Amino acid sequence: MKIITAFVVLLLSACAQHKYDDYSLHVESEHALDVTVEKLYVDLQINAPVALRGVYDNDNAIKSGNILYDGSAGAGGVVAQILAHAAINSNMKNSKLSKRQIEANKVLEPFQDILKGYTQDALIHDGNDYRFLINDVGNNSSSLILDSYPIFYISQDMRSLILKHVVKIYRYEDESIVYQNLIEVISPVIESDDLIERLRSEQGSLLKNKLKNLYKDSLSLVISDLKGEYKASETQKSFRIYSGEKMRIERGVGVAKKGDMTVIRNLRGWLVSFPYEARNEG
Amino acid sequence: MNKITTLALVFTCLVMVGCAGNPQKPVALSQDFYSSGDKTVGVYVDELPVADTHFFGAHCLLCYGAAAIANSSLTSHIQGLSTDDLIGVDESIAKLVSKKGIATNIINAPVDFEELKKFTTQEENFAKQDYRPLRESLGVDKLVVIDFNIVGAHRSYSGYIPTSDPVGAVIGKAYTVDLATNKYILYEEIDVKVSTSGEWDEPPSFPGITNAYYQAIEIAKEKVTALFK
Repeated sequence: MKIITAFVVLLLSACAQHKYDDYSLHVESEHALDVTVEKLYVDLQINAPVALRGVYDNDNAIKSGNILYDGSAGAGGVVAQILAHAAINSNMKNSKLSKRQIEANKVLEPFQDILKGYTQDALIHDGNDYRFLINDVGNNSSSLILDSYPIFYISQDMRSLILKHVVKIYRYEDESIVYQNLIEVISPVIESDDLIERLRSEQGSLLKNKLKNLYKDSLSLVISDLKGEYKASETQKSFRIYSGEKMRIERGVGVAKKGDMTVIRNLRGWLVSFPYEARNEG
Repeated sequence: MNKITTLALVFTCLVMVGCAGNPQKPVALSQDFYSSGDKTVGVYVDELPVADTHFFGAHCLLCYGAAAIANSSLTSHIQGLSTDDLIGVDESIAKLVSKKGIATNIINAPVDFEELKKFTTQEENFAKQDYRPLRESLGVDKLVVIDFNIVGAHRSYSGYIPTSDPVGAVIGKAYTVDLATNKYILYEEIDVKVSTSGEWDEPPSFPGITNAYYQAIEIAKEKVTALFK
């Protein structure tokens, strides 16, 4: 009975995970890749709406009272009760996260009209080391395809925009993955007495330009990483990163400074680029 | 009622009375802390615990055992994490207090609080042990104590079932005792829990929960030092 229970709990602990789309395992390219505009194609779902969400707190802890299992049902009955208990808790945890995301998305309400019909083709731009895949790669079988899945966030105080860009690069000829990562880019603070008015002005052109620039910056970070420019030389430490007024700590190593931006590689291997401020040092 | 029943009842009552002590309420830093310029403030950080996992709510022995097994790889990882980032809190506090013109003394030698005698009073906000002898032995008038008793990962359970993902946790207390009176002139519980950003179950290096762990440490340090600003 004890062994069965422990086994069930082990199973449950493994299967009750919420799935996040702003997540990627880091697969590092074995050696620096020769990326050129002729070889690297960015595959972006151009007709899909731009994913823009409110930043939310992902604490999924739920309050659950103690429960007594009915032993008269026998070993199988107790296991069934534990499974039912686990299923209820798992649902409650996921539901709490979904509710938090829905609640956080209310920050976007003032922009609903200008975001209507805003699709990912608006993110296309000219790059020095890549081009966007519009039709197909033609006869170029040595091409690399960069599968691009950008998700944008706006902080609850609207002062900061964040991109979490899930990137997967594979060889066109055999679909073998050569690089996979999540690139996070945090915008400098947007200063205004009336942020809604500012971000809405000219049909939201400021907001849309900022999102596009974050996207461009993230691709530039990918290219630098592919070229092997981000080798960690510093020791691991805790960085304070501000999104609007909200601070979070990211443990990692500094890999570059680009203008006013600091780039770190976090413990997952993701690249995080954020504006340097004196308060980052704590 | 036979003798055994009576004895059992008396024993139960005694145990329950023992458990019924009122928890210490928070005490904001007294206004005169910074006005007594001629006093010396000692700053002491109690021995840091080893990082570990803690499962709250897995009440029965079998539940706790199941939780421990289910999280064994996480536990092995957390136990290997350093708590060194908590070192230096005493210096940060001493710096803040010194800036206000108060002499400070960082106490490095271990202090065994268990050896202090019990202190009884009907009044509120007094330490339950007698700290007054430390005035002479440590050569300070007020003693700031930072006591982190849980550092690592915390996961809540309801019996066998987890009700949260593991979170980075730093739990403890910060207090200041006036060694002339044994009165608390500051008392705050530290309870920092930080959720993992995204997935947490990433063996063997658990980067998400490790990041939450370091985040909890930074927030705890900030909360503790903010008490003296």
